[in-house]
Amino acid sequence: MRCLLSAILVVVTFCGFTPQQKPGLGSVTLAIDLRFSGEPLVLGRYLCHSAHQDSLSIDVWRFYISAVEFKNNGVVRFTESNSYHLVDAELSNSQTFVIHGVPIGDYDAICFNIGTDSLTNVSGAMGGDLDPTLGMYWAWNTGYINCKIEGRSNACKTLHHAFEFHLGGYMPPNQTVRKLQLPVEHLRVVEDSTAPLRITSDLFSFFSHIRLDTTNKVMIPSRVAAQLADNFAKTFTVQ
Amino acid sequence: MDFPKINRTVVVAGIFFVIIAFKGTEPILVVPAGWPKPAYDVAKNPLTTAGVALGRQLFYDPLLSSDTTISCASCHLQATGFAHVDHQLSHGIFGRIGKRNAPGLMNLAWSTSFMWDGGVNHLDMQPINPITSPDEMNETMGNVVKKLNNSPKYRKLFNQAFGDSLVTGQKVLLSLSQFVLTLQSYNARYDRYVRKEPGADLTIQELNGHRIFRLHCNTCHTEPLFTNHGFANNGLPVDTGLMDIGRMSITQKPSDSLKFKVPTLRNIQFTFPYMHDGRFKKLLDVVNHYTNGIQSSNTLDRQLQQPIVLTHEEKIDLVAFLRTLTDRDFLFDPRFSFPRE
Ligand code: HEC
Ligand code: HEC
Repeated sequence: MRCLLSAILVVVTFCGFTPQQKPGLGSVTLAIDLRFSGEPLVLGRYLCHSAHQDSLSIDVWRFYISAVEFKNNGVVRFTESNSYHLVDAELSNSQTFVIHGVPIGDYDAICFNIGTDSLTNVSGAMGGDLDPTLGMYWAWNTGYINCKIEGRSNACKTLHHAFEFHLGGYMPPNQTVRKLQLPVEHLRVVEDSTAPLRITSDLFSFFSHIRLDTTNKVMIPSRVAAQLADNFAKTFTVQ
Repeated sequence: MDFPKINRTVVVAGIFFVIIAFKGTEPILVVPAGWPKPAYDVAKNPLTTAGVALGRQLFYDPLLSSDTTISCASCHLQATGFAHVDHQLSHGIFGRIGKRNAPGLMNLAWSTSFMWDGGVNHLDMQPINPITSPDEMNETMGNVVKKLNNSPKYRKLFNQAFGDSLVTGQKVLLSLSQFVLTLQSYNARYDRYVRKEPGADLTIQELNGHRIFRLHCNTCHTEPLFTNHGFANNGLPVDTGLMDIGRMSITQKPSDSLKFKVPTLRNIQFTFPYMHDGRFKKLLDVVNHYTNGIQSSNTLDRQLQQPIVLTHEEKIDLVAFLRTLTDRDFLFDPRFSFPRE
């Protein structure tokens, strides 16, 4: 019995002492702030879009962030492995994630993809945030939906005034993945601790570029999807 | 100086594989002599006895449909090369009729795209289509996963196959692929003839059919897989009811209008009816299409723009050759049939 107890004690002690990170490494907690016109986004609530005098509400907003990298002085110093994060406006815990194993030091830029790259799209069944059960996958014309934005607006003369943007497609010339590099200030990673980094996406500008009366349904890889992907990429900023 | 080391590894690996194949314990993807390299990377989804057994259970289980009436095997029957016999367009849930004819399933490790329009880029992803199509199994992937997670039998099978009893969409798809990859056909009379096995000669009629085949058909239905995995417009008049534009619906390119994937002709004797919409019942009807029925259009394949002229005897010989592609080992292999516990 004493033997068992001390064995448990040893295990517990070891677990307790196992450092979360290897020496020389820390982590970054990335928070994605979803907004509309500067305000935190509330799904289903009517919002006013002054650019076109439209009122609209957003019911679904989900997108992939992948291939996260941190740079300093133009040099990539860290690349997250297996880097796929599905951000969902409905799930607050999907809007914050920790990036582990980042070497300690200062960084001046973050790079990431909005969406998934072409290799990911042709690699068969994947798991985690890429699991095809998550509804971000097209079956008949295979590939990931990089970004889904659905809602309603009085400007749409569609059934229930609905608009649906499913932005995807990995084949040239209409690829929809977008690589972003955003400058960051004072991102210092310290051993054994986590540095916060907040990125904002504000959909107001996305809708400023669309006339919802004419563009309200994009469901296949196409030129329009690629243009909307450009617009969506422009909604991201670092605070 | 590294070579001897590599050789030794290869030899050891070779012996290892022979032992495995001999004992028949783990299933393997067979690459017959003279065949190209498979497109499917089995290193990423290694075939295991438990994985294939699980995929086979799923393939035959109507649990995958919303009202548990339809399984993969409802449309893909072993005895007909896993095609949907006698149905021009596949029949799904509530007797609903789909848009296209269910093709045979065989040697899919070599395919570079799936479906008649090639819209699916990877074998793993194909099953999402029938499972979620309202005309086929009318189910959601999420619900399939939920039903499987609620089944003690499946929890156990997933644990055996993946070392973890939690069912995920990825594991469902990987195990279905494992089973479908084992559906290999390479023991037709034609194959035995090519391998020069004793007593495996073709008749004079069949040999003449082979000659005609190489002259008129082989550029698209290329040996040994009997497809070049490309897309072509083979001159079928458009069915105005279905208005199926084929490959163009995927690529949006007018130059792909009315092009469909070149299907394999292995086991073609049993995979009737023929073509993407199942319009022909008999092989002779197909041959008559190529000689007399070609419809001209902007995208008609170059090769078919010159008429194919065949005598009645030559047509019969060609059909006789196509029948040598029937592989009874495949059609009756007990490893592919309905799994009985
Ligand atoms: C309702 C009938 C039906 C059911 C059920 C069905 N299929 Fe199919 N299958 C089809 C049809 C029709 C096609 C061709 C679709 C097309 O080209 O649009 C097809 C195509 C395929 C292909 C591609 C073959 C190729 O060479 O391109 C595979 C693989 C396949 N099915 C596997 C499955 C699996 C696995 C299941 C069970 C999860 C299944 N099918 C269930 C009718 C069905
Ligand atoms: C230009 C390329 C091309 C040539 C040459 C060609 N085929 Fe085809 N074949 C196709 C395509 C593409 C299809 C599928 C068409 C469809 O369903 O719309 C097809 C379908 C078939 C089918 C039906 C297969 C099935 O599973 O439904 C048969 C049988 C067939 N061809 C036999 C032949 C024979 C015999 C010849 C020579 C006389 C020939 N083909 C020449 C491209 C070709």
